[in-house]
Amino acid sequence: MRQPSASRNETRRGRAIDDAMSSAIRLRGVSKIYTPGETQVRAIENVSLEIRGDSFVSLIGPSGCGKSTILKLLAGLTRASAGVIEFWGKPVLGINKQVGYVTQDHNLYPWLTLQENVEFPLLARGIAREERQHQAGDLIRMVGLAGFENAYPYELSGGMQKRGSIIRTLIYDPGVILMDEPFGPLDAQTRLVMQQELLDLWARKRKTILFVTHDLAEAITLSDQVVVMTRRPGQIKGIFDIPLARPRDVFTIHESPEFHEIYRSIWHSFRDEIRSQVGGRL
Amino acid sequence: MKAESATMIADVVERLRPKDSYSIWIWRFLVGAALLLFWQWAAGTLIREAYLAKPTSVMWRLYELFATGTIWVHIRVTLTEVVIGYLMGSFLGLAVGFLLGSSRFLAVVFEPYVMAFYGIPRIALAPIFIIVLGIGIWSKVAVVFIQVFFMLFINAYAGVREINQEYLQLARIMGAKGGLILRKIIIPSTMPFIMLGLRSAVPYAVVGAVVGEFIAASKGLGYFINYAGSTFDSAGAFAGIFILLGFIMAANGLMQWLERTVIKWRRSEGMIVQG
Repeated sequence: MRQPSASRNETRRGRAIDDAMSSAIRLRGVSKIYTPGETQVRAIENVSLEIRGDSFVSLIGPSGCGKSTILKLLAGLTRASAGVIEFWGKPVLGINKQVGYVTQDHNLYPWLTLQENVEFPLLARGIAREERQHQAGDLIRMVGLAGFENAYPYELSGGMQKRGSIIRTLIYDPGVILMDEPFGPLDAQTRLVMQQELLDLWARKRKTILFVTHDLAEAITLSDQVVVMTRRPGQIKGIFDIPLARPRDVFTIHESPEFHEIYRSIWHSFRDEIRSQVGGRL
Repeated sequence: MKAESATMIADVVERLRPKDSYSIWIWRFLVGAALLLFWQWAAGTLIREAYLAKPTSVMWRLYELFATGTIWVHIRVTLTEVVIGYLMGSFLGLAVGFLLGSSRFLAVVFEPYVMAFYGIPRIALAPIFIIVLGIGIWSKVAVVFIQVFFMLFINAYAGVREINQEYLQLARIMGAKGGLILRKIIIPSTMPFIMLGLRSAVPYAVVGAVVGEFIAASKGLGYFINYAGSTFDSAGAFAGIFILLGFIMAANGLMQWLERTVIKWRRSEGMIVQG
């Protein structure tokens, strides 16, 4: 366990990243207080975190610990009550258009076909129709959705909807993708398939991914680093490097002794947070 | 996964197919025929025929009215009132609904007035419109207008308020700006509400015109029915009512077709129910 800082595996994917720009995301002393009614809810408190460019980082913590709040802050959907949030060295002030945001619900627009949904970010950028169709078509084929271009979201299965919402984010090539429990609503098998596809996509597209989940095995399987948060008000409890070799196979990775060892050490830290949450309720 | 989804689509198609086609239609016809037969028998035995015309005499009267062409002027007047009032009412209702729906400030300022207006039976305003606008078509247009306006206003307002906020936030993150968000997200998302409003407003519009004509008019189906009633012409009154019924059914069919054409993206759930 270390304090938040750059990882030690810089050269793992053949890139030496050591300049100041290597931090894609930097939070310094960030707190967020919501006041929904009379009472104040301290969602996160004094969170400092640096995320290196092109890395895959998972945020894990008990429910209600402010994991999603961090993503909302990074996307500029809400403002921090205190602290600084920087994105490639610049503070986030309004809606952050440099991120892709994949929510728990697929949030494809129900009135647009799959093709139109995937094209939407390009339409917003004023890109010509032919180019839009071309790029969206490529991505749709890449994730195996060819033939469903003209289907409306309600006609797609959960996994297909999720693929759609991921490629809708990839199409405008944001440097950072924020994922908020994206595979939460899927069944266990579809979830594994989607994890593998996400890893494959990430290997090809090289993005910084900040992935929120409550599933420790998922976090370890996917990530370079796992950030464990405390219960509310969320603080960073520990940051764990995951030195498992890539490319990884989500279907067999659980069998390796290394995986178990990592799981045990993180679980030790994680379980106390969940237990104290139970204690708090009783 | 692909195979699984293909069967899912097949399931949806299967569910949408009307399963009730054949026998249900026979039963519907039988129920209608039984009611008409009962009516035919009851008029003249249970109730004096002078008060309740037999269906056959109503049919005969309908035939006469169309054959001589005397009914056309009434149909034309009522139709004109309904169409003008409906178009104006829905246009303005939508505009104001969108405006108040998208501005918290305006919504808060206008809310008590809107609620007060919504609370009173708007048909009660008909006599006032007649005082102000006279007994010609414009007083009835105004009654239709006020009925339709509120229907569309309330639906558009609710529709804008119900938009999934995540849709809007994601659109902004994906780089969309005001105009595109309005065209591609706000309007389509509100469309089911708008269509519901347009459909529910049809009978209200017809009622508005007819009641206006009851109060003071010299032409129109309302006037025709009212006149027939006051001269104990039961067959004539029923003939007028049947024409109105045809009116509303035709308009409803048109609206359903419009709705199916405009909203193709939603699983048909038969969720639209209104009085």
